[in-house]
Amino acid sequence: MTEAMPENGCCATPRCERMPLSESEHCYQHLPDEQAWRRRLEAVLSQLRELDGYNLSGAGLSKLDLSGKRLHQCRFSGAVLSDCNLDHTRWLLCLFDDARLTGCTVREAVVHASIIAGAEIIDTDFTGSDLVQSNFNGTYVAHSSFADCDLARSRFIAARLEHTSFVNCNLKDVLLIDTAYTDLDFRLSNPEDARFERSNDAPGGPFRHENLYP
Amino acid sequence: MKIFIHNSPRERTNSYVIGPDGPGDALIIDPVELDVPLLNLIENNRYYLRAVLLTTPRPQTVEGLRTIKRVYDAEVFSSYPRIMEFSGKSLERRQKLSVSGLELEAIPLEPYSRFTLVFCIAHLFFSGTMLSAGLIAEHQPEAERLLIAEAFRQIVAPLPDTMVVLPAVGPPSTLAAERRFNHELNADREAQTGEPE
Repeated sequence: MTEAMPENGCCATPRCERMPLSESEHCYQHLPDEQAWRRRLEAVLSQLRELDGYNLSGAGLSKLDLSGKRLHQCRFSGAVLSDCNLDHTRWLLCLFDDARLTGCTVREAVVHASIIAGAEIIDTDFTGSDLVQSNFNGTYVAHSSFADCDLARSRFIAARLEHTSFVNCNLKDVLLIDTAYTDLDFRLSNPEDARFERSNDAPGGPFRHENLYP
Repeated sequence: MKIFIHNSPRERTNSYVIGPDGPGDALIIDPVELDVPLLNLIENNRYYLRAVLLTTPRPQTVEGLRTIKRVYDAEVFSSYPRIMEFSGKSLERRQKLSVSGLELEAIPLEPYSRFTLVFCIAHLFFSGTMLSAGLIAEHQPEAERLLIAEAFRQIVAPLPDTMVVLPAVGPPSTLAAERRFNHELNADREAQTGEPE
């Protein structure tokens, strides 16, 4: 059971139609003082365990600690998260579409019905997370780990997955359609319960189950 | 406005409850059952279901409707004037209406069918079973899928990328993501440009 995010006005900069960041009247591109905004953000984050309707779209977020927080209806669309700690977070209908996650940890998180479509996920660790019914369509995932994750009913349509671990995952009803993949590890998982499809003209040719076990 | 997603463990489909920030009248879209978690959700928020919106009346939906109507005096909005023993408001053409204090637009999925609807409420696009993240009507025959894809192309053309797509099946999405990664939604554009998005 999750709630969806509200829409919040526009950036204070004339003619800018982007949503303002939380803790600011401006979008990230028009922040008058990024460092002051970052200080305000960290001060607020240190007080709150639950972020409701927060908008951090497009923001550059380096080494941000969100561990243990409940992210309700939050927008991180197009945000750049590097070395951020999202361990033990609970995402409820959050938008990470077109976000870039590099060197982040999202261990033992609960991510339900969230949109990560089009994101770039590199060197990021989702170990032990519950990622049920999430949208990873069009993502580029490399050198990351989904070990011990529940990915039931999630979708990786048109995604590109490289050098990533899916060890001991629940892949029930996961859709990997036209997904390009290189060097994935499905040991102790149930890829037979997922749906792999690839057209004949896709890079690497049509899907063959035995290719999952090189 | 608050929106809650309820995933039916039996049917694996999503229904959506939309209500005010505080207690008051609420509506539900595509319910398949009124189970204890859903009932708790409605009652704990002190909502009263005043309306049931159906994108496509299906046998599973109809079953849930009977239970809901026993508990709540909710009006049914669908493309049919009557569903089982319940009469309701028939939405046969594109129209805007106010339901439970919310402004919404009901849009028939023409040219595929005027009996299949999608709903727009603020920045939310309720696509029913016909459009889900990355797929269009995956269980329909090819010819019908082409018509459904064409209908969706027409409907979403004027809508902004930031709209959140809430389907009856599978994870949510955004219109931007569907425009980029839903191969069938982009079939026309791909044919014109000669390459996928």
